[in-house]
Amino acid sequence: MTPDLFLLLAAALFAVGLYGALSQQSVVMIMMGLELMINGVIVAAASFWYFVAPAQPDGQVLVLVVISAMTVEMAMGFAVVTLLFRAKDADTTDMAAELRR
Amino acid sequence: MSGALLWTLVLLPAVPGGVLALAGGDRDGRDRDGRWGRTAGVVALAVAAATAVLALLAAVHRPRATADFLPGGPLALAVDGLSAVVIVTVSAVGLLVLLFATADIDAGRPRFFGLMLLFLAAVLLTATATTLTGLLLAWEVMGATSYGLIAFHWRTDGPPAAGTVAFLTTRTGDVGLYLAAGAALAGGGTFALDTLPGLAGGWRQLAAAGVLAAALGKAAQLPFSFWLSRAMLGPSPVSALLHSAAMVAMGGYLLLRLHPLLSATGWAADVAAWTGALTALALGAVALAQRDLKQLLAASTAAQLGFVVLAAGAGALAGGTAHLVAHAAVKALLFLTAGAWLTTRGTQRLRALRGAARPDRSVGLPFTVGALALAGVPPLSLWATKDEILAGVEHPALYGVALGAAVLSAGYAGKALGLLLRPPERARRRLRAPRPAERLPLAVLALGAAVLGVLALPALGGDRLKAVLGVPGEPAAGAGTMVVTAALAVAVTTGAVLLADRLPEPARARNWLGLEAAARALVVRPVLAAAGALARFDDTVVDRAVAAAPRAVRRLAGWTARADRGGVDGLVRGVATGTRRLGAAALRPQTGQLHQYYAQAVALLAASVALLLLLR
Repeated sequence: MTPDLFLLLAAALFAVGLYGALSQQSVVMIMMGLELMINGVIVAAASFWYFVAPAQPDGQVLVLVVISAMTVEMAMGFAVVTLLFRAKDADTTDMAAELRR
Repeated sequence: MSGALLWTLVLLPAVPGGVLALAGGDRDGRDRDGRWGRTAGVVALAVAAATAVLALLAAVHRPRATADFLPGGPLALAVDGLSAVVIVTVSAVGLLVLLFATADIDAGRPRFFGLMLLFLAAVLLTATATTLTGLLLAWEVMGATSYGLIAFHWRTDGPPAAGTVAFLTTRTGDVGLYLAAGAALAGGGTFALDTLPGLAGGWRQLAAAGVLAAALGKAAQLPFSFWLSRAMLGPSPVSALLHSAAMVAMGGYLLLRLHPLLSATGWAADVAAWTGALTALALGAVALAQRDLKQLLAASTAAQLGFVVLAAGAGALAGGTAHLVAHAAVKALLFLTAGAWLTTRGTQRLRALRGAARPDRSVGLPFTVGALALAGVPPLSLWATKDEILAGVEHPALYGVALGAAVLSAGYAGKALGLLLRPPERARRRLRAPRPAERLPLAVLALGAAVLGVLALPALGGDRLKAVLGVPGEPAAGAGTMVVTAALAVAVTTGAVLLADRLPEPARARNWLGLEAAARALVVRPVLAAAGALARFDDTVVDRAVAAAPRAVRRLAGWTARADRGGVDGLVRGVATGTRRLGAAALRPQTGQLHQYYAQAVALLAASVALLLLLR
C-alpha cells in the first residue's frame, strides 16, 4: 500500500471530473463532473492524512469540511437547476446566460 | 544785530516781492490803473526806498551773517568794500527805476513790481554772498526772475521767446558756476569764495573756467552777447535795471570779486581781459550799426561791460568798480529815456525818433548828458573811469583794442545823439508830456552820470575808492592819457554827431555779428538733432523692446496653451480612453457561459501552479 496509487486515483478522478465539467452540455452532467473532481480532492486529502500524519486529527477534519461543503454545494446547485428549469424550461448551460455581464 | 541788518536787507524786498508776484491781479489783462495796481506801485516804492536805506546802513556798518544751508555750505553773507559799493548802486538805481516804472507800466503792475523786487533781492544776495552756495541760490533766482521780466508782455509771441533765449543762454553759462562749486568741493572741501584761489592744481583751473563762463554769460560778453539783443523786448524799466546796474553788471561784479582766482590760474585773467576788450570792440561796432535806440544801447551795454571784464582781467579793480557804478547810472538813464520816448512816441527806431530830444528838455537834457558820458566826453563819468581801466592795462595790443573800443563808444553815442538832436523832418503832433515820476529819476540819474567820474579821479574820490576796496596800490591814469582820450572822445563824438545820418550800417554788424544764428547752428541745432536722434533711438530700440516683451509673452502663452491642450489634456484623455478600453476588455470574458468560466478558472489554476512550481 503506497500513497502513489491513491494519488493516482485522485488525479484520475479529478481529470475525469474536469473533462466532464468542460465537455457536457447538461447542467446535471456538469454537476456530476464537479462531484467527481471534489471526490478526487477528498481521496487525495485522506490518503495524505493516512500516510503522512495518521496521528493528527487535522486531515480528518479537513476531509469532513470538504464533504460538508460538497453537500451544501450540491443542494444549492440542484435547487438552482430546478428553478432554472421551471422558469425558463432550460436544462443545458447554453440556454442560461444570466451571468453574462 | 549786524546779521539781522543783512538778512533784512535781502528779505525786505524778497518777501513783498514774492507776495506781489504771486498776487497777480491782471488775469484778464484789463486791470489798467486799478486800485490794486496803484497799491502795488506804492508798496514797491516804499520797499525799495527802505532797501536803499538799509543798503547804505550796511555799507557803513559792514555786517556779516551766517546761516546753515547745506552740509558744508553755509549761507554766509558779508559786506566788504566791493559789496558796499555794489549794493548801494543797485538799490539806488532800483529805487529810481521803480519810481519811473510807477508812471511807465500800466498793466500787470503787481506782477511787474513783484518780480522787480524779487530780482532786486537776488542781486543784493549775489553781491553779499561769500559762499558759492549763496551765490548759486541768488544766481538762480536772478535768472528765473529775469526770464519773467523780459517776457513780461507775454500776450504776444516775441517777449516769451526773447525771455527764453536770454534765460537759456545765461543758463548755459551758469553750468560753469555749478562746475566751479563741484571743483571747490572736490579740491578744497569748502564753498567759501575766498578759498577758491587756494584750491589744488586742476580743481583751481576748473573753478576758474566755470566762473569765467558763468560771468561772461551773465555779462553778455562774447560769444553770449546776443541774448541782450533779444532781451530788449522787455519793458524799458526792466532793461534799465537788468541791463545797467544788476544782471549784466553781476557778471562783471563776479569777475571783480574773484580776480584773485583768475590771476591764480595764470591764464583765466588773460582770457577775461581779452574777451572783455574784444567784446568792447566788436559790440561797439555792432552798436554803431544799429537803427534801433534800445538795440544800440544794448550793444553798448555789452561793450561797456567789456571794459569792466577787461578791468577784472587786467587787475584794475578800482577802475572796474568805478566803471561798473558809473555805467549803471549812465545806462539806466539812457534806457529810461528810451522808455519814455517809447511810451510817448510809440517807437524806438532812431530815424523815427529824429529830434525827439529837442522839444522836451526834461527828457532831452538827461539823455544828452547820458550820451555824452557814454561817449567819454570830459568831465563826465565814463571818461575818467575808462581811463582808470586803461591805466591798469599793460599789454600794448590789449591797450590798443581797448582804446579802439573807447573810440567806437564815442562813435555810437555820437550817432544816437546826432540823430536825436537833429531838427525833425516834419512837425510832430502834440505829445503827452512825461509825468513827474518819470522826470525825477532821469534828473537824478543824469546827475549821477555826470559826477560819478569822481570815483576814478585820484584827487577827488579815486584814492578813497581804492582804500574802500582795499587795493591802494593800483595805478591811476596819468594826466597826459586823460587829456589824449578826452580829445579823442570829443573829436570822434563831434564827428559822429555831424555825420550821424551817413554812418555805415553794415548788415552783419546790425545783425549782432550773426551771433545768435551761430549759436543756433553750433549749439542749438546739434543739441536738438542729438535729442531727436535719442528720441528716435528711444522709439525704435527701447520702446520696441518694451512692445516686444508682451508680444513674446503672448506667444509663449500660446505655446503653453497648445502644450496644455495637446499634452496634458491629451494625456488625461488618453488615460481615460485606455481605462475605458481596459474596462471593455475586462467585460469580454464575462460571457455568461459556464464552460468558459470553468476554462478560465482552470487556466488560472494551471498558471498558478506553473508559477508556484517555477518559483519554488
